[in-house]
Amino acid sequence: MSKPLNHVDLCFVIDTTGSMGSFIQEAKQQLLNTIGILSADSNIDLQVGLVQYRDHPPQDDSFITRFYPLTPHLQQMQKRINKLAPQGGGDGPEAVYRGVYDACTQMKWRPHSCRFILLVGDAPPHGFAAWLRTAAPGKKGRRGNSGDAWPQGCPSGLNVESVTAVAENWQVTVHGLCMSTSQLALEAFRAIATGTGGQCAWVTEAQDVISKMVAILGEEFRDLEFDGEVLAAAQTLQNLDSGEIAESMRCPRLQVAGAIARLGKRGFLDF
Amino acid sequence: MTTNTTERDLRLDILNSLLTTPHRELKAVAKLHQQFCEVDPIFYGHLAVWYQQHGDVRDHKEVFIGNLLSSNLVEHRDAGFVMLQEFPPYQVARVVDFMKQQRQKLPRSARTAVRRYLQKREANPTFFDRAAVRGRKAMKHLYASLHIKPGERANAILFKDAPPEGSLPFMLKQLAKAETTERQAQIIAEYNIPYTVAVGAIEQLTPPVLVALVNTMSPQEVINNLKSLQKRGAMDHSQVKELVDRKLQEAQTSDRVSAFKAMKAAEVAVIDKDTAAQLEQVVNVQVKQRGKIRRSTALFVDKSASMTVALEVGKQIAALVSGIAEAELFVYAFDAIAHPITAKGPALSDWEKAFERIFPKGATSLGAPLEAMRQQRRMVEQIVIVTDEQENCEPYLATVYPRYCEELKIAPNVVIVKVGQHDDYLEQRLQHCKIPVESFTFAGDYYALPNLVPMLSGRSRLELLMEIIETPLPVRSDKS
Repeated sequence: MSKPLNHVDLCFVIDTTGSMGSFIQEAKQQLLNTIGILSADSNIDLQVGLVQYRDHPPQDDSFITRFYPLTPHLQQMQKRINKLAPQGGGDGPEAVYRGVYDACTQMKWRPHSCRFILLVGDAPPHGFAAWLRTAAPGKKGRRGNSGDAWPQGCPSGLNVESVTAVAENWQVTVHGLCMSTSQLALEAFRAIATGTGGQCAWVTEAQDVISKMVAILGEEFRDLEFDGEVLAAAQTLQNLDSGEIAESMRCPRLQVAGAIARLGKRGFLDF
Repeated sequence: MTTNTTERDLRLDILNSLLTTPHRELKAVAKLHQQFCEVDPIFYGHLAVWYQQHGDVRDHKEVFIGNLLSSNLVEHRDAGFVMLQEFPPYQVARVVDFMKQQRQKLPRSARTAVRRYLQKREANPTFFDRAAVRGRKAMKHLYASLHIKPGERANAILFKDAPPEGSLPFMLKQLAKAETTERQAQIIAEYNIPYTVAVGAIEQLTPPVLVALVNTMSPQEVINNLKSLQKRGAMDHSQVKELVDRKLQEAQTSDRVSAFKAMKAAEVAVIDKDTAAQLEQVVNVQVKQRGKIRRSTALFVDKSASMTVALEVGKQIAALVSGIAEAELFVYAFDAIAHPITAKGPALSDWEKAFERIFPKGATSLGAPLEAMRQQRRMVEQIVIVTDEQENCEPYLATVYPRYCEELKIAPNVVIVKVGQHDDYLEQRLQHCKIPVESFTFAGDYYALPNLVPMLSGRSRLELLMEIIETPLPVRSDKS
């Protein structure tokens, strides 16, 4: 295989404010489970990173985000996750947008890797209730700002659009796990996740989200060997005509077209 | 007025769900039908009849009949009674099982309908034999599970395994015993033995047998069994291959061929370039028969990073629309900017080629392609957008749309084809801005895509609703 087709970069973005106190053990367990499931697949070359987020000062003066780069040393990352401690946070909403934004822009994602963020938290971002009123004017349900110190928008200037645009530009799919029963938090996580092609669920349905990530990987890495052969054929022919490649490989054109889409999405065909 | 609107919206919802539910998910389909049936039984009855005439998905047809036959309304039961008679045995068996398992009831009239079905076949030995050969298990199941006593001949064929001499089941036994290829081919040709039955009776299919078999097959059967034919060496033998090609040629004009089954066949079989092209041609010609698009149309295909399926769906729709478009068609792929796409021809392969270097990357601006059209003063009457509805960068569609309308003096309808992890934020925003919008959910089933054609060919969904509600329920001739 001429290029690293099986690289997976996964970054956990987790709320470690005080309100997560009662959920943190469960959250850690979910992160460790995810690592366990993905690392068990020997076809995957996995690196894991972590971003903790809390809140903007003066709501929280400890930090807004704390960053641990992607590493292939999974045990080291597991230890790091086990040490996560909830503290501070101030008002209800937290610096969710900054957590996702920093993860997208500051992680050293490997070129061509399959990139995921698993967002875990219990509170919506600042200004989300106001955003929802504009984005979904017909939507019924709770629209309060749940004690938001910045009800009109996050002090970082970020919102659902800017965060999902950054994630899309960095080719990152965000999946969300909502730890609390806050409908607004779930709505916010869902807006961020679906905006990047990801999924979101309550933590009680965490297995759904993890299964979805595994399914996406399965989709990406299905016929890994075949994708490698298509890439080699495309490079030899120096074109992406699925019919021509299929003919040279003696296989169905649509199968080749599928491989080309997968390869192109990850930037393997920029020649 | 409010009640009428609510009722209409509900019916539109029903129609939308029906047109987009993936097939082969009978459980999901059954649940959906149950809801429709309870909410609006009158509409449901007309929809059932309309769907038998115009629908494509087998599961829906079966569930419709099952629900009609077990309905509390006499008119529904009578309509189900009449329509059941048209089904092949395996579908009748599925309807019976559906009623027993999902509806937990099998009314007397349903049992009478099945008895009438079997009697009609018993009365015509040729008809019965063909049904018994193609659906032996289903026929036995119908007699046994409903405790219907078979006639002497039917009993001999189905239960005693002693078919009368000269009957089709008898000849099938002869086929299995035949010692020479020539004899096998002769029996197949003479008695028109179906392919799926013959492959179970003969161990090895030699070229003369394959020739005889392909000759007996309908174009749709050839398409459905292409992979199996290929596996059995049909494509390696020039005479058989020639026959297969001829059948594919016939498939283009046959009114009994499903366009997207041909596409599925091309997906699963390792076929040569010529056969692939033939199948594609079948798809193209069949889709064209679905209608014409006389309104100028713009197709916007979301190619942002979150879109993994949109591009594939976009290509299919582009091929579908361009093949039947009689007015102008503008196609754009878009992320944060618009990329105009032009194909050399209307075939899917032309669109594959045109989208060749378009990959899912970048942020999402649904307004970008419309803004490009506004600047180039390209006027269209309808806009089809294939997207997950997650706009995240300017220009936004709701902002550009009024400007476009004002400057070009036109208000195009917007049809959103939702794919991937979609939500309804965009629809809500557009509706809030009083922009005419309809949506169609692509649930991963390419068979459902041709259902878009009626939406784009000029008829509104409202007109479609009227057509459905005006479709009469069939009545039992023995009762009138």
